[in-house]
Amino acid sequence: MAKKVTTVVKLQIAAAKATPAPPVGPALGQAGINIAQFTKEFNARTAEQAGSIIPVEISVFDDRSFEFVTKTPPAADQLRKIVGKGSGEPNTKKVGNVTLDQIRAIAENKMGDLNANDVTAAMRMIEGTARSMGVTVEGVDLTVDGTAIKEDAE
Amino acid sequence: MNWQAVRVDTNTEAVEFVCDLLISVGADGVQIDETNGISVIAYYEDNDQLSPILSNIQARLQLLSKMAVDPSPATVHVSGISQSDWENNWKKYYHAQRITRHLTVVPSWETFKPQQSEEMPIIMDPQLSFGTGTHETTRLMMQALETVVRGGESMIDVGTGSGVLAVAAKLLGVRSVLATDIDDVSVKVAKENLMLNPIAADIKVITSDLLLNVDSQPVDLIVANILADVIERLIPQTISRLKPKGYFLVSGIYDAIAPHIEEQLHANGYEIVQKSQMGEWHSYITQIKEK
Repeated sequence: MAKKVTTVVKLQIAAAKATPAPPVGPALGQAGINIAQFTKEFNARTAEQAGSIIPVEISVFDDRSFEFVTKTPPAADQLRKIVGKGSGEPNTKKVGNVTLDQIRAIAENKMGDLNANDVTAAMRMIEGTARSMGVTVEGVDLTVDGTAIKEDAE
Repeated sequence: MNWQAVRVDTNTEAVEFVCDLLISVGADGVQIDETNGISVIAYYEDNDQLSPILSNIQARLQLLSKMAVDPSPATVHVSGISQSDWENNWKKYYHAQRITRHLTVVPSWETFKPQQSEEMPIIMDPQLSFGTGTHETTRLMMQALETVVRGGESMIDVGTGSGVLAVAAKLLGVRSVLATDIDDVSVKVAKENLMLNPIAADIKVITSDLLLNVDSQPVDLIVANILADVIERLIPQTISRLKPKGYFLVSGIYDAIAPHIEEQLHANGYEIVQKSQMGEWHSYITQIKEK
């Protein structure tokens, strides 16, 4: 008989560095999973992505075995890799600038995980993240001008 | 250590922003809970840093609204949690399981009756350490031990975790075992598990980064079920600690990195005597190539 999924646990954790400490321990412990087995598998599968935050969805079956899928790092994590860090006061303190090409590259990387109809729509979502982090795009302050994408960009 | 769980109720559009917010103020990751609306949960140590962190979270949630991302309802709930709340739930689903012809892992809280005379129990309470005995990487290593152990050997178990392989080796006839782990908690857990298995009570367990603190004569067997990046560091350390014709048993190698580890073994003078695979995990029985 096929195993039934009893719970789906969603986490965002550092690649290759999962430990039984929170949030992994409480999230998976409460679902009845052996935590050390998950951390070993997750760390092996994400070894190449060390330094990134990885969204992971863990399906827990009725016998408490599990499977998991990993997704692309969040836009904020990818932007932080370019500019160094985010701003605590994004409306007044800018921490860096990215180009539209960099926004496009992140949008394309995340297309599979975003609910966007096309790359331009995905780029607008990534811009939203940049705005919330105090990151300008092509020198444009998104808190003032909204977007750096010109309508004929596509 | 005690923790405070900080739960922020939010909505689909804002969930990524809230995740990033909670990580950027110091959480080692977040959980997204969709059982009752959408909430993001992060954990912070319960110390004097907590109060400024909570103020920061409140301030930045308000700021998000001004940045055209509405995180509403944006209610914040804080509740205490301790390790005992989560570390034992999985035990309800851990039962005695026969792993190889001779070896059966048995949770310390279950009674066990062998089905056949050659079946030997390994009594385990792994707590939060790796090594229930049921994972593919451990199964592969137990099979490898059954293949090479003839009786009377000396052995080092590197990265022992729960101590499951050290006990398995003693049951199969290995004479003396030194077990190491970099993690003090695992060393403590391994010692407790060895005491549950009378045959393994003479095993020494030490805290050591791989073999750095090991000062023993060369041994007949070195076993390591860790992960590829750690195994890569370990390989050169094993050469001087293995007797001629001794075996180095390797497990914990994930599919994508297996060719690289095979290269590293060859480059350090090892010959791969046997490769095994279970699911996406690989293991190797190796010996130093005779010159």
